[in-house]
Amino acid sequence: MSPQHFDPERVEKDMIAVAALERDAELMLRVRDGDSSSFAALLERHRGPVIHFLYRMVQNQAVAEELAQEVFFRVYKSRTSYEPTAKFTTWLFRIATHLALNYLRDERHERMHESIEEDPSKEGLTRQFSDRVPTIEQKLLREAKLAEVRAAIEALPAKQKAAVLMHKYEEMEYSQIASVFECSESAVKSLLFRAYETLRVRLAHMA
Amino acid sequence: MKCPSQNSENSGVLVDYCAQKLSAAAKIEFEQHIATCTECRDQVDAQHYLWASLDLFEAPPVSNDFDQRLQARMAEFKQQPWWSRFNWRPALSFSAAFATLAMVFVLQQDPVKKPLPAVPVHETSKLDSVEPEQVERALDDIEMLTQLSAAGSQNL
Repeated sequence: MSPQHFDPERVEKDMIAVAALERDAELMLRVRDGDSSSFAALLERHRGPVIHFLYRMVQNQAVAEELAQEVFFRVYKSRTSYEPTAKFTTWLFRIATHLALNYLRDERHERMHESIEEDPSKEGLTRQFSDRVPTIEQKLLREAKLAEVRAAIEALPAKQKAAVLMHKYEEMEYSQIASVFECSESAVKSLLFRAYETLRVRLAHMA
Repeated sequence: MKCPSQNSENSGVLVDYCAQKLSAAAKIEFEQHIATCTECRDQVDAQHYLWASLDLFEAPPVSNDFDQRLQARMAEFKQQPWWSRFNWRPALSFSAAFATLAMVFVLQQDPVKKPLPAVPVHETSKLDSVEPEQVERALDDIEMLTQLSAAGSQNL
């Protein structure tokens, strides 16, 4: 079976993606030339995905935002040497992944966890769900499921976790994830397959 | 098609199908396959369930002051003098490594064998000669020690 057959819907999607990538490179080149409003535009486009990715990686909103600040600050600092050789988002997620993996590897993160107050994001999620579900029982069930999902994701090896988050939530292609990790597409596919298999097994009892 | 459950090379099809990333033709082909393959159908159900479960993990909204904090940090960075903006760490590491290498190189070189400085003649004569009083005193000491040891053995 070949997944490469002509598909008009897919072609249109790809063209939109290419336009978005060109826009990123164009904005970054303007930032390089000293245009700060272009940096604000880049921040507007990528702030959400980067913070959400980091949040799911470290599972703490305050830490995720601190790491995201560092990602964008590094982008800003290296603006003068920017060359549009790689996709902007690949570069951005490479920095974000690097910081998140370092953070997870660093034993000091436990101390930071203790110093940062109770994660308000968990409360926010509870509130979000409670708006949608009518009964207390359903709400509790949803919260229990969410806790299981978070735990299952947290238990994945750091690289598998990053790959799943980029693939599932950021909808990144295998090739782009491969560029972030600087490895082959087949290595990414194998990484993802193992990660999804682990998650399926861990969450099977919830079905 | 090769059954994705039986063939590891084709295992990505299952994930791509659930992520709706297969082309239209590939999707039809896979759907024809799962119509007859129970194992793959079960895997697809499990993957669909997983996909829906992962959707529960929503990220909270970004703090309102995120941009402000970043801008403040960037403004602070812009105000810093150029030398403090420079990342010295790699330069320092390089310098330390270079200094170590240079030291190793210098130490590994064969030191040029310099002739020992000649000892002046009057100093060598000082070393070689023994004064007669010194010999006399030494002989007296030996004699005294012999007498003491003899006295000691008699007392015992």
